[in-house]
Amino acid sequence: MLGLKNKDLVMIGVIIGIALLFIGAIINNVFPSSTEEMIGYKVSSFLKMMGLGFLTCSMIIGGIIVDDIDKNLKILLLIFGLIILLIYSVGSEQLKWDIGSNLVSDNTSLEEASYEYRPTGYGTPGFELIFAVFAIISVFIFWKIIKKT
Amino acid sequence: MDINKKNLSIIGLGLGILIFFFGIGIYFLLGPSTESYQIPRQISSVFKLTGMGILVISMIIAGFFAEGIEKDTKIILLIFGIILLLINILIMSIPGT
Repeated sequence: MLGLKNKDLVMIGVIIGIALLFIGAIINNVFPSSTEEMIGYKVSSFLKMMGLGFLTCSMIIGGIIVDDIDKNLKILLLIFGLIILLIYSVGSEQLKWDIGSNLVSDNTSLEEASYEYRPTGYGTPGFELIFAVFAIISVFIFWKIIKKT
Repeated sequence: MDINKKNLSIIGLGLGILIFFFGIGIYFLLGPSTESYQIPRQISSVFKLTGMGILVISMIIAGFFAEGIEKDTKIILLIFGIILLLINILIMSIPGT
């Protein structure tokens, strides 16, 4: 396709992924959201998630199919892609935007509760860090096992 | 591109990851969900679990049966495929999540 090799396609995927992530972050800052208007937050979060999707997808596929890079780099690309995927698989439960009836009271409207309890990725402080540490430890354990076999 | 187990697994991997992240993202776009308005949660769950299903199938098939992939890569794919499957059984496919 257009004379592009697998390596170029994977590189374009990584570029698009990281670019979408930062465009999403910029949108969140340029169009700040409030209790009345949350479109900035919604669009920004969607773009950030799609960016992460492209990035993870490119890293994992790159770790399998790219031929003309160093073998260690290839494995590293695959493992880091899988770590991101693992973190977001577990973390996706923290990224839900569910407003239960207990969060809406006489003093708090639905809009205020929606704004107050929107997931920002930091609902439980540092939740990514905890899973990242577990993921890295598991990868090292599996890597040792693979090397022994 | 030839249609063989390796290429189909790689297409499945890419598609599965994109659908999964789309499922997380669509929750923000449609949300928030409340007790009387559950559509964001329903749509998000359908996409997330469909993506994860395609992804886990592709990883395990690639790890076991695909030819033309290096041995280390195949073992890593298989191990992570099983881990993701267990995560889904234990966390994501519980009703209400």
